[in-house]
Order: sequence, then structure tokens, then C-alpha cells
Amino acid sequence: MRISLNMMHSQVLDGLMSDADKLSEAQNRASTGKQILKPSDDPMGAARAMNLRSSLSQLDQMSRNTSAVKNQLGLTDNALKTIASQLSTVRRLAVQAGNAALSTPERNAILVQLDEVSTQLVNAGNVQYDGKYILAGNETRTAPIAKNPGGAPPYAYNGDTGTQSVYIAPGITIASNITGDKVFNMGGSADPNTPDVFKMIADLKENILNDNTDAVSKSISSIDTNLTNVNAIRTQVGARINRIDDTANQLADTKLNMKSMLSDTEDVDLAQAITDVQVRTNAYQAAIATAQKVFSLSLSDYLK
Amino acid sequence: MPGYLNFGIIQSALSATQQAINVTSNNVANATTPGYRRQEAVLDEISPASDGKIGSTNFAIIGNGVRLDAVMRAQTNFVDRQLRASNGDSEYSSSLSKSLSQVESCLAEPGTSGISAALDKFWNSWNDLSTSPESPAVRATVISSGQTLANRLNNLYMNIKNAQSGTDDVLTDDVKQINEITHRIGDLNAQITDVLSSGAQPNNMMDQRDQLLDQLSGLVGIQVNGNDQSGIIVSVAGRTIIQGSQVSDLETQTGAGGNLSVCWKSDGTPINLTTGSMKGVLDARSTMEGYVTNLNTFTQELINRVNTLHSSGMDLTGTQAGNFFAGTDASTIAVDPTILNSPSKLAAAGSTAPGDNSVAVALAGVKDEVMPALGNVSLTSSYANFVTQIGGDVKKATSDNEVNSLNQKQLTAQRESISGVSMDEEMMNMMKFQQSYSAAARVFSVISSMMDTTINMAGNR
Repeated sequence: MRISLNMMHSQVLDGLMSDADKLSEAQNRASTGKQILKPSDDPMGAARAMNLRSSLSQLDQMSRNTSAVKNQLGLTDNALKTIASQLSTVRRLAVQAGNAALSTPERNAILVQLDEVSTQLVNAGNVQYDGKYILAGNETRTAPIAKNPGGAPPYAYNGDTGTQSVYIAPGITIASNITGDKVFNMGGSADPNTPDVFKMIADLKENILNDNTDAVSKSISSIDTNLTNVNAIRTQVGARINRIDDTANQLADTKLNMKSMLSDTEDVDLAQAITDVQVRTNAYQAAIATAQKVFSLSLSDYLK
Repeated sequence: MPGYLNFGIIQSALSATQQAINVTSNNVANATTPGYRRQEAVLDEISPASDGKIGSTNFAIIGNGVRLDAVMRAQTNFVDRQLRASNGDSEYSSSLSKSLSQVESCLAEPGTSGISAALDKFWNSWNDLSTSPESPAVRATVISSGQTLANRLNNLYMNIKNAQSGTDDVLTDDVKQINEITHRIGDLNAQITDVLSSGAQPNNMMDQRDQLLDQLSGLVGIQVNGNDQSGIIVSVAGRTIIQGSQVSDLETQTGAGGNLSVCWKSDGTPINLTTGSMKGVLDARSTMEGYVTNLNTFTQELINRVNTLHSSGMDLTGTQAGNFFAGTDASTIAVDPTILNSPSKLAAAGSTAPGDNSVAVALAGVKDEVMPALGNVSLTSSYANFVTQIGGDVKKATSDNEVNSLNQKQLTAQRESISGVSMDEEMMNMMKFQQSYSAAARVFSVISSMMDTTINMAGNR
């Protein structure tokens, strides 16, 4: 084959350009650590990477959701714990008051304690998280337990029965709240045959004042019903928290898997990438050296 | 002139060798001139006058020296035909891949600054709102993530549209260039025919014409027929564009949808190209039109779904909410001004209660919802598919271009191998003619001294 001057130049130039191109590509991969820099590098891989990244972003959000819900439920559980312990106090006081041999000062002391318990219960019912009343259903800006202006029953529930569902995993929601009406059996929402907690305490006080020990003893069954109800709700809340923990652990595993899948799809094997850069650099150097040799050769140098 | 020493022979040798050296010089001088084809001095023996006779036929014994018969230009017709076809294909895939890559680079995918990431953040913000539907700060986040998403969609739309309208400028320039080239070829055709008929060899004009044909073949893809004597015939897309000095012009016309189309000027028929950079530009434009359609379908689904859910809800003031997104497609999508101006107009609730998060949850759930209008995939997957489609198109165009340009390079090398100037060869020719010249000069001096001898012989008598 005849080799013309232009051919020699363009061949050397093509070689240099393609080596330089490959070197720059290898450098780019090594420095970014990514093997898919644009969709056309691997269209299917790019789509996989996009879907994985989107799922990861969703999972991060899910962890934020779970921690928010868990905080709120934890606070709810605290409130319920307080309520249960206050109801136990009520029960203890009722048993004490059922004893006919009480002196008036002793009875008065019980009444004072019962007032204190009522206040504690109202406070627990109006517990707030992040500026909202968490036992008020959807009426989160209204204190759910408030004195009834009519006086009977003594306290009214000003919330609603709304529950807030929040995603804790893709496609899975969990209710993040408990409504106060159920907790305090307001309007008999938990047990229609039992008076609500506040009415029950008011009745108890009335009976103690009137020294109606019979009625006081009978009221213990109502206290038990309400206490059982609160404990049942506590169990429910505990179960939700457990479910959230389980889900969060699962999500953490899934996230790890997805991260490694994303890395497999997108990231370069760094050792490979660095070796590539070295190989390409050598090739490029060789091409430059060859060019120098080729161009230094000329027949005219040998003709006299 | 039997028996006489012939100075003419040696004189012809000196003159022919000088001319041959000139041809070599010209080759060396033009070794890097684009379009230049190697020329060769064709030396021929000057027919002898009749020296003898056999029967009634005169025959020659010794020739009358040498002459430069012609300066031939390297012929590469076969490779030319292949190379021009390859030019068309190579320029086609090159312009297609360049235009589509432009769109690809606007996507910023896969990564964290593209539409996909903006979409994720948007759904995430609704999730945040579902955990605190009353919070003004979270409301502001939802609105700003909606704005980011809308802006990125607007930008991508604008970028594709700009790339698309850029093709109009390219087409206008191409048509201008094509008309210029065809007219110059037509002129050269006429001149070449003239020069050839006068018996001379119009090498440089043919170089110019071949170069123009190469350019034209890259732009539109051409078929070349006919011969140099009567002028070549060039056809584009099955129709003659140049016949001798007759040239048909092309023009651009604004067609339906405001897109430019390329037509024959004489009768306005659209030109139906199959190859060449111009076809690449046209194909890129229609491919981009498909991208715009897909992007708009995606955006419409997004707007519809979000607005349907949002307007079913109540805002923080307990009023029925309006749309979240204004606009109808990727070019017009924006967060509704009502919401933009007052975040409390954002609907998280399905009722008037401030803690109701049902609409926020529903909107957060759209991320995993399957959209029948998008082929039963989620919005996220649909967008990933859109990106894959563009990536696939670019990948195909780029790898086609690699193959085509390799083919073009090989054919160019093949032609160069025939018609390019090889310095080694020219050096050898130079040596050859130099030696030939020295030898002729030597012969001349010998003849000259022989003549002296003869003359001296006469003088001594």
C-alpha cells in the first residue's frame, strides 16, 4: 500500500486522538467514581440507577416518617401511662373511702387527692407534641379535654375521632394517633355502660362526700373497666411502636441492599478504573513516542 | 538521418526531464493541499521518422527522443463512489448523535439534580406534610419542592425546544451551502468540458469539483453519473440536481407546525432525503418532537393527578382547595399562584380539621401509584423510561456513528493511498529524474566532444 503524507499524518493523529479520548474517559470514570455518567453509557443501567435512587430517597423519607410517628406514639404512651397510674390511684382511694370507719379529715384528704388526680388526667389528655394536641383526633389545635360549661358531665371532649395515617414504608401506612374520647371513655365511646373517667371521679367524690360507702364500693368496677380500657389502648400503642421498629429495621436492610445495588449499577470498580487510567496513559505515551519516531523519518535525510 | 548525431534527442530528454521534475515539485508543494490529487508525468517516446523500409512499409529503428505526453491525475473513481456513499451515512449519524446528545446532556441523569430527584423531593415533602399538616414551615417546603419540579420541567422543555429550533438555523445554512456548492459544480462542469475539448487536462478544476462533490455527499448524499467530457450528472434523493451546467436549487419552506422543510425550488416538492447530515438534522428534529410529546404526557399526568387529589381537600382555613399546579404541559407547569402567595391555601386535609392529613398522605402515595395513561407504570418509572429512551437513541446514534466514521476513514485512507502524495515516492522520482537529467547532460557533452573531434578532423586536413 502506498502511504501518502496525509495518510501518515491522519493515521497518527487518529491514533493520538482516540488514545487521548479513551484516556480522558478513563480519567473521568476514575475521578467521578461513576461508570454511568450519562444515560447513553448504559440506558438500562441508567433507568435502574434512577429507580433505585428514587426508592432510596423514598426510604430516607420513610425513616423520617417512622421517627416522627414513633416520637408521637411514644409521647402518647407516656400520657397513657400517666393516665393508667392516676386511675390506679383513684382505685386505691376508692377502696380506702369504701371503708366506713374513715374520719372526716381522712375523707377530705381523699377528696383533695381526687381533685389532684383530675388535674393530672386533664393534663395528660391535653398532651402536646410539636405544638399539636395529639389526643384530639384531627382537631390538633384544640385542647381536647376541657371543662364542660354546662357542668354535666364535668369535662367534655373537644376533639374529633379522626385518625392520621402516615406512610412508614412504601404502600404501608400506620395510624399515628389515639383519640382522647376512647382513652377517657367520653360519651361511653369505649364502654357505653360505664361513665367517662371524669364523671366517674366526680361521682366518686359526690358519694364520698355523702358518705355513701355502698356506692363507693360499687364504683370500683367502673374504675376497673376504665383502667382496663386504658391499658388495652396502651397495648395497642405498644404494638404499633413495635411494628414501626420492625418496619424500620426492615427498611434499613432494604436500604443497604439497594445502596449496594445502586453502587453495582453506577459505580466503577476503583481498582479497575485506576488500572484503566494507567493502561490508557501508557497507550497514549506509546502513541506520542511513535508519532515522534514516524515524523522524524524521511527519505530526504538520506539523499545526498 | 542515419549516421548523424542527433542533438534533438538529447535536447528532448533534458526538456522532458525538467518538466517531469516540475510535476514532482508540484506534487511536493501540494502534498498537504486539501483535495489535491497526485499527478504523474507520462513520458512517451517521440516516434522516429522512417528509417528503413520492408516491402512497402516504412519502419523505424531509433526514436526521436522523449516528450511529456500528459500530466495524469490519479484516478480513484471506484473508491470515490464508495466514499461518497459513506460520507452521507457518516455525516447522517454524526449530526443525529450530536443533536440528540445535546438533549441528553440537559437531562442531568442519573444524578441528584435532575427531574427524577425533584420528583422524589416533591413526594417526600408531602410525606413530611402528612406528619405535621399544620406546620407552616413544612407547607413552605411542599410549595418550594413543587416549584423546583415545575422549573426543571420547564427548563427541560425549553432545552429540547431550543435544540429543535436550532435545527431550523442549520437547515437554512445547509440549503444555502448546498445551492452554492451545486452552482460551483455546475460552473466547473462547463469549464472542464471546454478545457477537455481543447485537448488540455484540467486537473486542478477536477480536484476542486471532486472536493465539492465530497462536501455535497456529506450534506445530502449523492449519486454521480455521466462523464467529464459532457459534464457529470449529480442526483439527490432520486432527482437530478446538477446536469452539466444546469443546476436545480433547493429552498426551505415553513411547513405545518412552524417547522422548516426543504423543497425543490422549481416546483416546491419536498425533498425526500435518505442520508447525509441534513437528513440527520431532520430526523433529530422529529425524534425530539417525540421527546416533547412524551414529556408533556408525563407532565399532564402529574398535573392531573396532583390537582385532582389536591382540589378534593381542604386548606388550612377550612376552605375547599383549588389546584396545586397551574398550567397544562411541561412548558406551562407552575405552582398555582394562589398557593404560592399563601401557603395556608395548600390542602393537606380532607376535612376542616387542621390535623387531618388525609390529602397529604394521598399525595405522598402518588409516588407508587400506577398511571394507566402512562402505560401502567408510576410517574417515577415513566420518567426513568423517558430517560432510557433518550439514552438508547443517543447510544444507537453514537455507535452507528463510530461504525460509519470508521468506514469513512478506511475509504479515505484507501483513496489517499491512490491519490495522496507520498514523499518517499516523490523523492525517488526526483532522484530518478535527476539521474536521468545528469545522464542526458553527460551524453550531450560526449556528443559535443564527438562533434569537436569531427570538426577538428576537418580542420587538420
